[in-house]
Amino acid sequence: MIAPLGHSVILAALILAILGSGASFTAGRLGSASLLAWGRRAAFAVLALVAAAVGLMLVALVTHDFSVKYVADVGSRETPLYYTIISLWAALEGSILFWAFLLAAYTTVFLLIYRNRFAELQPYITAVLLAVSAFFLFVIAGPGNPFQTVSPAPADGPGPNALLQNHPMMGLHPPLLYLGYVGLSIPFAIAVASLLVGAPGPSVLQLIRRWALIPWVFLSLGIIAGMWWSYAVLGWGGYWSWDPVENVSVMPWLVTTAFLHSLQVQERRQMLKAWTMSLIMSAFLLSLLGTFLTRSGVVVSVHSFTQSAIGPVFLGFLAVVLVTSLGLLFARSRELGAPGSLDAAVCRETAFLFNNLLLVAITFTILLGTVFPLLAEVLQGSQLSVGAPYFNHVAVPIGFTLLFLMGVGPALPWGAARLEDLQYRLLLPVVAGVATILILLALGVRGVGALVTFGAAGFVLTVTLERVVADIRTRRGNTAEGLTAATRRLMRANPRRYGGYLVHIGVLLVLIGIAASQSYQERGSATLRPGQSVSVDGYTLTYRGLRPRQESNRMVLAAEVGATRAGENLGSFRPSQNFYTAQQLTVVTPAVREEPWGLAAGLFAGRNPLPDLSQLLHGRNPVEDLYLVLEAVDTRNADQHPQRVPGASPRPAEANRSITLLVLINPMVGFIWFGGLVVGLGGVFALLPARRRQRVTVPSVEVEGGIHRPLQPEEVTA
Amino acid sequence: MRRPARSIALGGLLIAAALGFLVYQGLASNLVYYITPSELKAKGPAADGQSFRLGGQVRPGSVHWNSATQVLHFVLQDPKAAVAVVSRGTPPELFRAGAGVVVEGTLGKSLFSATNLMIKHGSDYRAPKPGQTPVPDNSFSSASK
Repeated sequence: MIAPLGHSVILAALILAILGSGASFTAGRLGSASLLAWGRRAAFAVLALVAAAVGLMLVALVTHDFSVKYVADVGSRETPLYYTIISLWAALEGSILFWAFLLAAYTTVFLLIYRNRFAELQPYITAVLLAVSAFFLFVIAGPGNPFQTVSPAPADGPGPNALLQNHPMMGLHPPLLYLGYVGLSIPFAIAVASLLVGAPGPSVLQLIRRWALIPWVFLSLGIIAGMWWSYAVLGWGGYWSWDPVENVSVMPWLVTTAFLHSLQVQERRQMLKAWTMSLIMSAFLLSLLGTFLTRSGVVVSVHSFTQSAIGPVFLGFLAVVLVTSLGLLFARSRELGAPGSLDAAVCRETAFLFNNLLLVAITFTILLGTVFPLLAEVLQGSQLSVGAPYFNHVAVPIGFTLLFLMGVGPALPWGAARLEDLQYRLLLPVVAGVATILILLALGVRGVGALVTFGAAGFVLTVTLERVVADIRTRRGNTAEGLTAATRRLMRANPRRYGGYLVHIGVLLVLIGIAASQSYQERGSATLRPGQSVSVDGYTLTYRGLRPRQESNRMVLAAEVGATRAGENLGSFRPSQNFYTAQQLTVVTPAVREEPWGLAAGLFAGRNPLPDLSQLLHGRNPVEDLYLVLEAVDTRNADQHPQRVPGASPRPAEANRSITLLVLINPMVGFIWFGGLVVGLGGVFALLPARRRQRVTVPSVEVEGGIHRPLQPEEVTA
Repeated sequence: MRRPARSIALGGLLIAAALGFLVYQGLASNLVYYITPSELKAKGPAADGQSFRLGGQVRPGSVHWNSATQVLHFVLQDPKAAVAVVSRGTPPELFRAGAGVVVEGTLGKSLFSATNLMIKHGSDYRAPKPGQTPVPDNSFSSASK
């Protein structure tokens, strides 16, 4: 019953989206307010219908209605309720449905907020968003229909992919990423609308910025959540493997980051307008391309492309979007031309320019590495893959340059830099960077890549803090406020700037975490009988026995392992192997002593939450993860490798079987999770509206259209 | 053209050149071809020292596992040819004679040293790397990294 109902709901939504898009576009051409009102109603109705379709799908999943194809594909009676619900995005068709729902929700929220503003753009924004909706609804209605009827309905299904029901993070990571991907359609729609009307003015650019920053925050959090998922589920001790699915999530993030920077040049100097607009349009294109690459199966093989109609349909839509964007940019090239020009080679503008070039360069190389296997297969007929070393080889040098620019950029003034100013501003940061390296060297830290990262981080951090201190000083000099009041009001008056600085600090934390964990990972592996111990890098791990347990959907073989370090008892860990009966697949769950989560948990247990810094004096890292993987359980005996019966589930094991334990010591991985959170917070802070008070006498200048912005310190002195 | 614009164009060109070099160098040394044992044999001695991803079937009776040294020897075959493979570390759960297996590694003196060993569950040829966000029809499990 649900299947035909769901399909009709989607068809109705599709028709409404097409009609609404047409009506809104015509409303823009004719200037008809009543037609636009119909377009808006269509957009709200599309949300109601798609929400109903999602509701129907959830009902079908929870009630195990296997006559619905999607439920028959990913549902199973044994799957726990939580994983049943989130299997809405466990496979292709469901995730496209979820995507359409988010898009409809974004559209409605946007149209409601800006009900009476940007009247000229409203019809076109509505038209573009509904057109994108129509495309996704078309995919759901036709080639990727999750509501197909299966007859006769199977009694049970295979359940979601075992990896997707192995960690609760799966409920958070995909929605965050999708909120990012889908959200990029809003700035795209605004960009297209503004180009249709003319060239975007400052207030429209502000609007685009705001709606680009929202998905940017979601993308940042989604990427970090994905790394965490990878770290906590896949059991190889890493968090990033340059897999196509990962690459695809980071490309729109990089381009949107470039956009957020180039926008500042465009605001200040009226330069790079066409470039800025291309960036935000490319971000949407890349998010579509990502969906196409990962969802059409084309990444696995070009041959799977032709097996489903989804691939060609997506490729066609991509082409339409690309051609439209290029056409609009070309048609408006005169209006987008730059009235401003550069005054000097060394200034804030050029720092932003090079930041942009480098971010786009990284994106391009990642894109090339991701699609190269496809190109090779199509052109050459050979199957190949581009190894992770390629991406590291290219991205690491560019990343270092970007890190350097992140420090130099904020220290540079707009316009032209005077050499003595620059010397004055960069002296302390350079000293701090060099001192960081020297102190770490003295503490016994080695490794060029990591040391350079730490030194650069010290440099960038000092520049950033120095800027903030200088701003506070300037403000206090002008307003005679107290320190805290001045700081608070300064931050409130320019959330963009200080949000941006906070993001930079978050990025530093992430990079420190990556550099340390990539450079100083220690590993060991041993086959242990109960009671035996292995020592790895100062940790002693004692295997105490197997603890098997049967759950509804899986058989869990957990090994109880006690850990001590230098006589200190760190508690008991249970890395496990989970055998999913329906899929006949074993998935490991590593046991991770997660920092700083472990620290937070320890706080509740009454332990000292602060990292033991005295460890540094012994050349040891005070913040590190103990990561245990149950690599193998001997099901017969230790000397012969398993001659298992194919397809048989492991027999309930006696507690005294021997195991192979992989022990990884991952330093400072917690910095990545924490840094990701800081990046997200910085982004949210930058979204806050600037607070202006009459009494506050910050010197300000009029930008354009009556909008004032505070005068920057460098302008005060200039 | 004004001076600052010229120096910036120069900088842009330098970046583009450096990038081109990095990409070329990176791609040239990091392409891993997917091949079968017969394709490997057809390459002859030219394949020595090169990295491949090799897919085939574990020849029954060829598996030797030394749990003390953690070294695994087996022969990977397709209908026409066979290659001896050596790998370190405990093989994955579903490794057994007759199983479809994909190994990543390098060929040296007619022995293929695998750094990564994956089990093929279906007829599908490719394996996701560890770290992959799974696609719905993911049909591989992965062993040692």
